[in-house]
Amino acid sequence: MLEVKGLRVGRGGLRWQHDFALARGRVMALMGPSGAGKSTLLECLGGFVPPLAGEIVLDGRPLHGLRAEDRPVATLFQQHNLFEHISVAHNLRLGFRQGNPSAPQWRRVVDACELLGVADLLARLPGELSGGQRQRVALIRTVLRERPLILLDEPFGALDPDTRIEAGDWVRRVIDRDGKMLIFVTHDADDARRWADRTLEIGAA
Amino acid sequence: MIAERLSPPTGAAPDGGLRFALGLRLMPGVLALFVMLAISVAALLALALRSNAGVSLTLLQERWFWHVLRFSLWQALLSAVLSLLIALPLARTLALDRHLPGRTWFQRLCLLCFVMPSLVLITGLVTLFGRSGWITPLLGGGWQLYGLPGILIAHVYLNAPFAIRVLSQRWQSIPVDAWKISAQLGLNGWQRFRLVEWPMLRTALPGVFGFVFLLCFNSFAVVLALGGGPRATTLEVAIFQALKFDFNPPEALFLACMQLVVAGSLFVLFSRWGGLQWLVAARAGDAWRPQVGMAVKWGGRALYAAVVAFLSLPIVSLVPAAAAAGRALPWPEIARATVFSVGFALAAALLAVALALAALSLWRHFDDAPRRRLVEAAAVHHLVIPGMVLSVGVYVLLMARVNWLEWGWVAIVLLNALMALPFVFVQLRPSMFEYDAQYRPLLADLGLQGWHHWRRVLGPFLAPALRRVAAIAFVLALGDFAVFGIYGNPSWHTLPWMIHALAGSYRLDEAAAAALLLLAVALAALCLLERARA
Repeated sequence: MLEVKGLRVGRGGLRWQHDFALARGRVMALMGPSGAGKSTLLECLGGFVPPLAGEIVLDGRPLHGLRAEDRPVATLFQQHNLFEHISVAHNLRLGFRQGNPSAPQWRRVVDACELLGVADLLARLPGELSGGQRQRVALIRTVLRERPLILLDEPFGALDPDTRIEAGDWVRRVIDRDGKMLIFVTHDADDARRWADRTLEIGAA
Repeated sequence: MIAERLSPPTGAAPDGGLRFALGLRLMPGVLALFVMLAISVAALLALALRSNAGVSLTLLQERWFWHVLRFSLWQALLSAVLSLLIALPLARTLALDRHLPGRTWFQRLCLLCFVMPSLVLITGLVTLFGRSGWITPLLGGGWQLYGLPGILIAHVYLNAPFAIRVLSQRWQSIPVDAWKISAQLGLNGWQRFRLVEWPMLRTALPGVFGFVFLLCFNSFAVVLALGGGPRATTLEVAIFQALKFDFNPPEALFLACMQLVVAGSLFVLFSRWGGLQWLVAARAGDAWRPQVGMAVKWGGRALYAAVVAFLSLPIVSLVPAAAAAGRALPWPEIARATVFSVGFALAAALLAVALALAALSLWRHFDDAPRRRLVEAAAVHHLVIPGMVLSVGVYVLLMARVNWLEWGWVAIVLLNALMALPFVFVQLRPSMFEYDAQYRPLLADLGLQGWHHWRRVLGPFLAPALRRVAAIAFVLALGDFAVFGIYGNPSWHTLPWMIHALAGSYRLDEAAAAALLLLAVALAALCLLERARA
């Protein structure tokens, strides 16, 4: 269970306060206009923006005192999710301990790659992929990492409608099966209706 | 965008274990910083302690000193202006003329010329412009290589190629959209220059000018060999003479202080004027570029041909002399000297890279400008500290405790590494900056740290830049003449000293052959550099 209590976050002169909870196996969509602080909230949960006040508690353990490196969180950023100088397969492996996934872990990665149509790209460099392909590779690594809390910042933005549905359904299945928690940012109400259990609307500060 | 520093969030002080781990990780950087600064401070102190009479301030009243200072500044100014006058139109041609033949080879030649061992160049220039040189009859009766003309030719030869590479790279970095918009709006050549090209030049020119000026101001081997006497002497050579011939530490210390003050002030000034994108590997300019007019195009190509000839001739001129030397060459001696040269240069290059990486690990850790500037200053201050002062200072500091005949090789490696360090550090820093700017959040999210991080991600990312800087450091150390002059052992020679000895005993053909060999080793290292552009 993720509990966010009186969490105050700021960027520039803007301030937001959040209170919500999310149970295991549940998905929450974050919606709101540009500049409303959606990404800032994800960055705060991930440890990249220090909170001004409040608490983040995951399964009874406070997260807000931990460095980003030590939080049990996997994040998909809006950009720069892949190292450009190493292969797609190498990038995928880095999601696991010491870059060495176990055989079952790697099997799941390969299955996901096949499902989302990127299995043939494993030997390529990220620069040789289209925007949608890069997005899917990064999505697979983020969602399959052994982390209970998954944060996705506009994960389906670069995908065509069919792939979007396929990728979103796959993410939802993984969350259900592994009992993880997912928070994702979207501008599309259909995404929220289809995959989220609840939606948090953030207005302008 | 995630811009915040990824340190423990407010209110979460690192615990003891974490602090210890952080300290352990920073230890190499702290050690490197200590080595860099301590050697310079110790060298200056050693000279100061040797100067029983203190710093020789009486020189301030001597006309000779003011003449040396004025000449140092004047020749540096002329060299920098001439280098840029040649580099500007040629850099533009390289960037805009997409069908220019041999562009890639020319850029390699430029790099080779910039790091060319001074003694190779001097041998070539004497063959061309010396008393019985190939070109001398065309220059009239009053021609004299030794003095300002020789110094200017050599400095332009060494530095114009550097300026050409940096400026053409900057021209190529103009976004293709800016060129396209200017074409679509129908801007004429002048408007395009003013709106698209000048904004780039305005930020690049001060840095390039300043750097060339500084290199020429600190020039040693060229001025020593081609200055031709006291009328054409720089501060660096005057320091050498004060130490080598008169062993007059007070005078040397005063001159060194003057050099530090002038060169240090210039360095700070030029650094503030603008940054410098250094010797990045040559890239093919395959993006869209506007057509230039016929006159500009063919004018540029004529200049290109002239500069190719200017840069090639001193090298080509060595070939007949080297061939004439033929079997008379002392091959066993040359082979031994080559092995020593390569060994020293390799060790110095590796040490310079290790020091730069250690300093950069500290630089990355700091997120405030003052501490980052301290690391930068420690790593690049050897650009302005006279090499001769460093060498002699360390020598006299330890001569009571160390047998330099036996351990001189350690000083040769260490001091050459320190002198190559600014070039290595300044070239690696942008790569490290780019890496952090792009991947820092991702690294934190993936929890990548330590050796695992280095081996799997950072090492492969830096590999091309590391090969490049190691090659440049190798070639710079390969041409060392000054440090070996202090610490060299009579029982073994390096190639530059062998060239010097051969030329000094009028065995010019053999000197030319040794110079060509030195050049071939340098070229091999640089080819490795250009291979690292992927």
